Amino acid sequence: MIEAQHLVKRYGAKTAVDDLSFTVSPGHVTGFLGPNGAGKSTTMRMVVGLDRPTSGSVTVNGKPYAEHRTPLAEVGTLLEAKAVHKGRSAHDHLLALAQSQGIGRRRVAEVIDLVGLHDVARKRAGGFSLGMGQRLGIASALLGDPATIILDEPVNGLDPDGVLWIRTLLRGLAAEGRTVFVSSHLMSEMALTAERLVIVGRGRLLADTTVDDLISSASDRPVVVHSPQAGELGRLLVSAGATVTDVEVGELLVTGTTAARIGEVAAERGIVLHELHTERASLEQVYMALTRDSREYTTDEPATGARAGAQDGAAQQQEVAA
Amino acid sequence: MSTQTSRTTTDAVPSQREHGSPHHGQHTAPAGASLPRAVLSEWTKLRSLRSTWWTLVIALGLAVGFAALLAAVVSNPDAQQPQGGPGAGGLADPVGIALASSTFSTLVLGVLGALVVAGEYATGSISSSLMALPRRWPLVVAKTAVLVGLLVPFTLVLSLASLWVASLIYGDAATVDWASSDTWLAVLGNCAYLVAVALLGLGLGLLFRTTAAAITVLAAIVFVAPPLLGLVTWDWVVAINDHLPGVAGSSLASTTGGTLGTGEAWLTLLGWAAVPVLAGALVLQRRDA
Ligand SMILES: Nc1ncnc2c1ncn2[C@@H]1O[C@H](COP(=O)(O)OP(=O)(O)O)[C@@H](O)[C@H]1O
Ligand SMILES: [Mg+2]
Repeated sequence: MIEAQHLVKRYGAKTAVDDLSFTVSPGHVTGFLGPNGAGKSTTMRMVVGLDRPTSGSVTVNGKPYAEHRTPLAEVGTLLEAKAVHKGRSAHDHLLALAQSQGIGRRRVAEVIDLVGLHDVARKRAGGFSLGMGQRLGIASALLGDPATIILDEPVNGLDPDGVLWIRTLLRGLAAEGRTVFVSSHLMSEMALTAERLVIVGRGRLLADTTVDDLISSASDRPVVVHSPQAGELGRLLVSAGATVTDVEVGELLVTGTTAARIGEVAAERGIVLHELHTERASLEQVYMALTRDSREYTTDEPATGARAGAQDGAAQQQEVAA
Repeated sequence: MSTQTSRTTTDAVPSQREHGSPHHGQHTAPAGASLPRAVLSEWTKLRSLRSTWWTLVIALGLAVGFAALLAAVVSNPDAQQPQGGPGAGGLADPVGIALASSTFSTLVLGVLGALVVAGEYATGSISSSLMALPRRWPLVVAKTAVLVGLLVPFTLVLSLASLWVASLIYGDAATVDWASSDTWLAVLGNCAYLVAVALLGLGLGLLFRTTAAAITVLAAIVFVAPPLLGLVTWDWVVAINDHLPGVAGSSLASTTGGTLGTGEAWLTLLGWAAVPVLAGALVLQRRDA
């Protein structure tokens, strides 16, 4: 369980985390989502006491991190930056961590096996590949058999096998009743792993929701209508209170109503419809719209056709966040 | 996800063992962080780095090598002997001359002290350490204890080896009086000097966080400052120069005394060892990791 209350972190004039409050509860994977620079890493570092909040507070399993008697048995953490001495073997790194908490040697061997590093455990960690380093980081996080697990961008740079491995591992840990808090700047990744989402942009909370709610919140999706009588249908729909955009001759994009209602209106007036469907806003589009204003670098805009739907999703989402 | 069981965790990896969940208590609960456990952990960290052992080998080699060299030079009858020149039947302070060979090793051990902290900042492993000991000050206490625990016996070996090698080379020029308490006090003083400079390195590592900055300042204090400050005759500069670690060290590592009295020399070394470490602990406590 992680409870953040009005967390603020400023670096000089830059506000990295801005009045952030959220709760991460046990039993499911909670994704911590936001564009690069949104303040995810800073927040996670404040949770485990590495950085001190400018104001506000955060507790893990009911206490400030530093007040736990056996911190590594409460919270296991994988930070974005490597946190292993290059000159030390994986085994010795884990052993030193274990010894500091009174965790037995047997557990060290267990986590080494658990992450599949048995064959290289006595080699210097400086020579590890990115994937092996990440596995060692996971082993460190799991060492104390913690009730809460915090992972900062764990799949960054991993090959597909590694990504799948982490995804399965995280779900398993959550299913055991642990609190699992994982950051990512990719909604596509979180959509596959997380059930709950805490979404941030420019240090502020944009949404604290579930994946399911986020998808259904994008319910005001535009309806695409193809009709040889598009002009007439458009006028009727506008007078019925809908918003209509002419996409091209014979094609309308309608918001503020449903496909069913459009079908009924058309039937009443005997208007021919060639196509009637609701645009599906993907989770990715909802996320992109939600974080559009807070992205520091805008490179990967969604395709034009989806934009209208995504914007509607954003309007909805601000209500969720409020 | 609700249909998954705890087996999922282990099924996800190639080689598996039972993984206990915190709520089903397959593992006995860990005993908790404590100062003795922090010390054990720091010992594991220190001994598991090759650089630790290389540093010791180099420090020992330099000390013994220079001891042999110094002994050979001063016992050469043709050589001029400016300090501790021959008294009746030999050198006045053969012990002090032999132990003066440790000067180069101080820098090496100071680097070891600096690496104990700065090495963690350089590799990012400081985050692991601070997450394990979030109260932070026990980390400093443990690092200090382990460094002292390793270096007290090591510097004793280093000092005795230097002295013994020198005594062999002196031949007729001088004899080392192993039965004299002055000899042993000088050896202890030499150990204190070496350990104090190592702790100075540790403190500088805590204060500066980068190996380069810590070592630069360390070298400035141990090597660069004495000849430079020696050129200035202002009283307060002279006072500082007389209280540099090297002056305190050579005052103690001698059977004939030096610039500082015994008590003042010990206090001076204590100050160089303790003040930077304490200041570094305060900085660690207050600053973001
Ligand atoms: N130590 C620091 N000093 C100054 N600015 C920082 C520091 N750490 C982070 N920041 C700034 O705070 C913002 C949030 O960074 P970060 O938490 O790393 O974001 P994220 O992990 O979501 O990408 C960024 O604009 C970053 O440049
Ligand atoms: Mg980050």
